[in-house]
Amino acid sequence: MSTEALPVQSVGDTLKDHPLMGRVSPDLREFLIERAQVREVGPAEAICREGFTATAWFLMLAGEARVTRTRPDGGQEVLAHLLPGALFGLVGMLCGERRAATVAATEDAKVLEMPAALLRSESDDFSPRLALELREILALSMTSQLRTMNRRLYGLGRKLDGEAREDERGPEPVNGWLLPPP
Amino acid sequence: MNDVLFPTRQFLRLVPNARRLPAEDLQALLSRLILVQVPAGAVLFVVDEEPDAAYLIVSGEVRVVREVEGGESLTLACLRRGDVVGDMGLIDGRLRVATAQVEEDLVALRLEVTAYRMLKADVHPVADWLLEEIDRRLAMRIRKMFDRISRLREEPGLAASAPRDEAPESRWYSRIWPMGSG
Repeated sequence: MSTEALPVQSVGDTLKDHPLMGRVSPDLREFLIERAQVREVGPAEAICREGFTATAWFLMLAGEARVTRTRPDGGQEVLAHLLPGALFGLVGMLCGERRAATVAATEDAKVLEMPAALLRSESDDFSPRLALELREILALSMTSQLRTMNRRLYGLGRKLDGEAREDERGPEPVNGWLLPPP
Repeated sequence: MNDVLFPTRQFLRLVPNARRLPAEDLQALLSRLILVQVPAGAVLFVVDEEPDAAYLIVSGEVRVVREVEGGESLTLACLRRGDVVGDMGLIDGRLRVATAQVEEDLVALRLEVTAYRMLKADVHPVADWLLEEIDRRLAMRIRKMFDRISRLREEPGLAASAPRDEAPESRWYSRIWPMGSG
């Protein structure tokens, strides 16, 4: 894994095009860019690991990754696939618990790593308005993910009843999360 | 706003995290919560409806269901005292994805979307607390939902069609958020 100085302009443009991050004010984008770090990871390299303390959350900039966790029998279970645009690593951070899953790149990938401490930032340029905006973006990301999961649960329930249809796989989420097929 | 506020001490027992709010902000929050009583058998909201409020359950039980063909319904969640229902619509304003049926006589505190939006627009400290609380609850719900989907995928009849250690076929993927040149 390597880290690099932020190519501020290009990351800024990327955030502007993002369905959620594009909604935030220029002030918040600038605040995040100044404090975030771009990480480059290779295939099979972990971005965050199950069982570890959550100290950051991430935005997938390029490449793809897989979310897995250990099953009780020791095997690995695929929970989701992440595409560019996916915000991830929020759950452990917000639950205040250790990571419940590992996220590893499936190809060369770039992620933007944002320290958890940003949410508790007391710096002068992190105004209450920016804090509110940031919390709302996290909430929007998670509601989008939950809606996808609700659809998947519904699809699985129907499939158990022998009623699943192809179109229940979609529509795909807007924030880069894909769940494995039922 | 309410003239008669829900008792502070009772609210703090229901939502212990609200102890962090200064007394003035706690009163501001309570003044925006409307106490409602809904008999068993009624619905709080139905699928595909515009969201108008979220509810914090004081007592009773709400079942969140989605209808499937043939008059059956799939239960997405059973919610009780201290749980919140309808918060996803509050956050993203999108149509309800499920119906909330009152299973046992319900007493709940209702926060209307308009009140929530005004708090946000005013950058009121209560809005920040609300979003922090909602973020935490959404994160916990995602964690539970992963567990539930995993269990369902283990069901006979689904396990065989959902290889647990393999990625879904690549034809399932499409880049849903094309990256800029940066």
